[in-house]
Amino acid sequence: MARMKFICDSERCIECNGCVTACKAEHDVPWGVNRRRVVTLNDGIPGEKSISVACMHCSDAPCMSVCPVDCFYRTDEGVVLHDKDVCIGCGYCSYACPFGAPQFPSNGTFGLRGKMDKCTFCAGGPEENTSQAEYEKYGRNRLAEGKLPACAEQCSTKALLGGDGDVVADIFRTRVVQRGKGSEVWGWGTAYGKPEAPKS
Amino acid sequence: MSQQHSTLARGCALALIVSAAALAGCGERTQELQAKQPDQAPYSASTKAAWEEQIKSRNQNQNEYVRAPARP
Repeated sequence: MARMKFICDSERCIECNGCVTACKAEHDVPWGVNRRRVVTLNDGIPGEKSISVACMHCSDAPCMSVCPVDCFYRTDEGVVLHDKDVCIGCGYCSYACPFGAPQFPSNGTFGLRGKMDKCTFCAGGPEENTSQAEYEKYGRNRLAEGKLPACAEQCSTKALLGGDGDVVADIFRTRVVQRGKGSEVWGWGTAYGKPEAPKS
Repeated sequence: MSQQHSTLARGCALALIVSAAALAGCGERTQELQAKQPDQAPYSASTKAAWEEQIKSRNQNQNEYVRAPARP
């Protein structure tokens, strides 16, 4: 069974924000909510690095641990999703998340905080696959249609890789070997843990 | 007389502020996502093998070394 993961290659990201736009368009994400965004370190200084950040669908997800109403669940493919019918919009997950993934739409004139919204790895939610209800709450379910996340599939430089963890790690490894640098994948250790030390 | 006027003006201003605040709620727009039709029917448990094959193929579409092998 595939374990879905994201990798962002900071050596390749050109800060075009195509991933952000693709995500917003694919899921009709409302104003004020960015499920994915591009962060640039040392912006304007030669050697600046950009990284596309969203929910990393962590192996041991902190959001899942702190949620007081237990609205998070993990799919068979390792995608961390949540149930908006259960979410109370408390915001604990946003404090726990090391990637700043949880987003809260400011609903209405009085700025009430709505239910949490985050990247779904284009896998929808607990509703029936590709149903109207699922679309309205979580956006498109590309994974059920046999597609990978829109952000990764449209990335022009293939900086953002998304898919089966073993496969995308292999793709990245080949790249690093070929070009000879950039083996430290940003966020990988935080999201998926360090590789286990060989047992002696 | 002028005191009555100022009280009236204050009352009117207060009423205006309260009604503006109350009516602001009428400007709320729904933020629900608008429906979009899927491109194809979703895979099901019975078509799991086909789904896995499709995902595998899409995974490799991200690998440019498959399309243009690196020079030895």
